[in-house]
Amino acid sequence: MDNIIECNNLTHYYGNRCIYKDLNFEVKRGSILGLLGKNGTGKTTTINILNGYLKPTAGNCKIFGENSQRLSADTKRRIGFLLEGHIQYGFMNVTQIEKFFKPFYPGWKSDAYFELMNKLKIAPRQKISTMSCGQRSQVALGLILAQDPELMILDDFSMGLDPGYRRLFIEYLKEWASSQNKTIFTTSHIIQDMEILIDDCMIMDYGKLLISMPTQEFLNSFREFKCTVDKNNIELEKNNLIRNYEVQHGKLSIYSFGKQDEITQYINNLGINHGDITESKLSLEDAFIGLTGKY
Amino acid sequence: MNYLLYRKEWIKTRWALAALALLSIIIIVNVWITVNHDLRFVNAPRYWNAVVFEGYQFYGRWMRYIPFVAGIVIAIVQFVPEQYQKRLKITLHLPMRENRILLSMLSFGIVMLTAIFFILTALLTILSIIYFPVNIVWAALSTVLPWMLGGYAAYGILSMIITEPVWRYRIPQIILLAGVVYCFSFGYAYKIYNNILLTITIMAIALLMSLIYSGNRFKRGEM
Repeated sequence: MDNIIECNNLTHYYGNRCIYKDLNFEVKRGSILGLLGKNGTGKTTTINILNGYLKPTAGNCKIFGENSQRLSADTKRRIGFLLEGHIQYGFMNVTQIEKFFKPFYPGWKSDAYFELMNKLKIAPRQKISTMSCGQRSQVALGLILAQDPELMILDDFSMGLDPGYRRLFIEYLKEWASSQNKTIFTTSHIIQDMEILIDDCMIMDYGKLLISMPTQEFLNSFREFKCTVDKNNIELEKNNLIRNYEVQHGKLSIYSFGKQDEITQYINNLGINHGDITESKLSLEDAFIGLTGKY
Repeated sequence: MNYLLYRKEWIKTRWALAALALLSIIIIVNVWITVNHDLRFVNAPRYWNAVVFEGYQFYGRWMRYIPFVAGIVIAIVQFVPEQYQKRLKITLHLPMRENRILLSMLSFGIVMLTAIFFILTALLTILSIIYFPVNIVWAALSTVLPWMLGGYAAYGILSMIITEPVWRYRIPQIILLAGVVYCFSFGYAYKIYNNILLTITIMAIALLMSLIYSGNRFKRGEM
């Protein structure tokens, strides 16, 4: 089976509010897919549906070919799940929690867990509820790595972590996934982290999916075109060419998958007086903001 | 895998269980001291007459509420940490059927409640046998039994309330809890529940299962 996750015509409403409608996507074995979006665009909703903790209004998700609402014990064993905020059993200590999870997973790798604990000098009897968010994140990561699942689903793994812990987390994940052809589905608000980690990205906006493609392809084809204009009240129609734009202090920025001459021709056709158009490549964070807007 | 879930539940609840066991012992010791005192220093024949012929309950009113307190405390220490930050998601993600996980957690609570009730019953029996005839011992035990059934029911309902994902659904459930505590504890006279013992036993078992209802609602992400 090539696709580990398949979501078909996924639709979800909270009351009358549409989170998304007819969302389709799949995650291939061995890929790391990042789901990006502003707050409230449905990232955690999607994670919850994938894990079977939320019944979608319509459509379905399949993980390893099973409906995510009715995952068997064997399939759950193949999925590592990280809750937002690195939540774990706070009433257990480092050793107790490892002992608890170990028998559930035949391929459990205690070394992976204790190596991480030793590296961070976490005492074996330290209670999880007394740990900092960074330490807790490493316990959660260590447990998932020890579980050695085929698929990891991570909900905002960078939440509350300082840059050092974030980098450590990403390096471990990247190494784990690439060396063993594992699959990761993740969300995060820290887009710089995602740029290092993910192979494919999906960017969501309110009620819809904006793009779904390999990250490198997105970064190679999505551009910012800038020029000076003589007024600030320019309004452009958003379409396949003009994905987004903003005008500030006499400067027009257009975000597009198009070529420079297409943009120039488009602006000229609208009769807008403008200066020289410059084209810039974008980081993933800039491209994300360019595509979705600042607010 | 049930033993693993039992271990987790034990780590979570052991201090509360120890406190409940201690409380049970203190209550019975207090009853013991009171009975001993009343027999020796008040008026032994009159006291004996009150217990044997007038239905005076020598174990006092506190005994009535201990099973409910035990049920409520165990439900809180067992399920609040699971509901806090939605940790129940971690538990339900364990490679077992969700209902089996919920039933394991429930059975742990039942076993622990039974252990507390065993301490209470054993000590009460010993105390009763020392001072009173066997028919009074049976009368005392059959009066206490419905309160214990109420303790199980209260445990089941409060587990459901804590696990319930939608606040507005908790309101009728809280009313149900208050009703159950009232129904299972209003009878104070000896053997008052004897004619309906089977009915309230079935009720208690049914109410114990209510966790499955809210656990499944939690699993489906009801909002």
